Amino acid sequence: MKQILFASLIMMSATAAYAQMDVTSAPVKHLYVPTGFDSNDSVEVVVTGNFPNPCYSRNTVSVEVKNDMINVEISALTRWEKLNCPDMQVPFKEVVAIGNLQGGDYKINVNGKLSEKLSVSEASSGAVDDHLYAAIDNLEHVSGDNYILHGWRYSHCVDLDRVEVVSNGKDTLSVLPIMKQTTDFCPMKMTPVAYPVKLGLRSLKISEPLVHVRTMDGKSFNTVLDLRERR
Amino acid sequence: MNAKVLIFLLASTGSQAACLPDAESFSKKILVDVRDIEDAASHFEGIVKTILPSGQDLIVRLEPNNPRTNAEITKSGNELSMIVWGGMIGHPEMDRGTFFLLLCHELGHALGGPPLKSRTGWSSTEGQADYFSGGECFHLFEPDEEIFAQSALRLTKIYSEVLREEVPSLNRCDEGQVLRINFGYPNVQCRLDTLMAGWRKLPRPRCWFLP
Repeated sequence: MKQILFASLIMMSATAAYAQMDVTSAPVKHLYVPTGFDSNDSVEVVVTGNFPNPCYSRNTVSVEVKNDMINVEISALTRWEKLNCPDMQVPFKEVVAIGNLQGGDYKINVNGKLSEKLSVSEASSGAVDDHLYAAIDNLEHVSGDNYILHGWRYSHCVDLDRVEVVSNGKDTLSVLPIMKQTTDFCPMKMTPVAYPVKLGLRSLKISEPLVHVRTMDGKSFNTVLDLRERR
Repeated sequence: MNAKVLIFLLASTGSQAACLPDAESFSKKILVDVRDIEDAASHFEGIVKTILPSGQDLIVRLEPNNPRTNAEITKSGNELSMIVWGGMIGHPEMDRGTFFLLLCHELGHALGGPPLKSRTGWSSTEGQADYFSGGECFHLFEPDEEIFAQSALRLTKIYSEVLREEVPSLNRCDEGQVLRINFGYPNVQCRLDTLMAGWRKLPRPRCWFLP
């Protein structure tokens, strides 16, 4: 009976410890807004920041679109346990899915701290969206501005047509690996692919640029490079 | 009211206008009876000129040898230009009614009204173009609901093949509800539902539209 009582006390203590969790606004540092979205795309932006200690963790992201204003709220979970919260910079990255937007100019605010402009162009009026990007899930640095896009080809009936790289002139390169259909017969066969790409990183005036790669699933692969050692 | 349809049969995929990246090395063979399509396009011209705004022209270009399975409308001043590629013209699901509905969809981009793809643009969204094509345009060619329904099903089957989406059905509907208007391409079942809603004068489906 004493053992059961003791175990219950331990469980109550644990519950009390978890009760100290709190939801707070995430300490955001930089908002990356890729260029080249149109009204057929699912718009994504990327927010980075640093938690001040390991007691912070990522929580929710909410997006509200009202006319030409987009408000993004990124929250963090905090649990205050002195022994386990030594000061250290813990980087985080949130890929914020804003979704499909009407063509036009927008202003994005993140946690009331970061603000950028976003332009969405009007898509062409094809009956069906036959535009296809490669399925990319990794970016490998080779040397200088030379990189390799790694991903998958789900059928041999499509092949890479070209890779376009578009800079927003500030902090982000958008990489568009455009596929084309080469035969009418599309057997399902998943094979790894690697496409070389040259990124004009020197055109950006930032040591931690975002590389935003559009992918086949309608979303994107995003990675923030650290160029400080290379510069 | 002075509409005209010019049918250009561009035999070469290498022409500048048709030099699209997705068509360069795709050697699909397409067997198309162009006369039927020419006839359908001419008939479309004769009817559509009754609903075009004054002074507006319409050019329909057919490119039967280009294997791309798509159609598109562009606008330059008072001139609307439609282009239909060979993969669409020669598709096994394509027939006269389906071709009318396809052209009606493209016309719907110009005449369908809001919601528009862009706040400052001219083109209705895909969903609105579908709604217009079923509600305002196809009636001009064919009053029979069964023929319309089969045309709608055939057209959206072509979409589903291109997109590798599930084949749509007239016996179910997309029950999804958007939180914001979809300014891009709704899924194929939603597009079929929208065509049928337009024809039956029902509200635009919530799978892409938010009142």
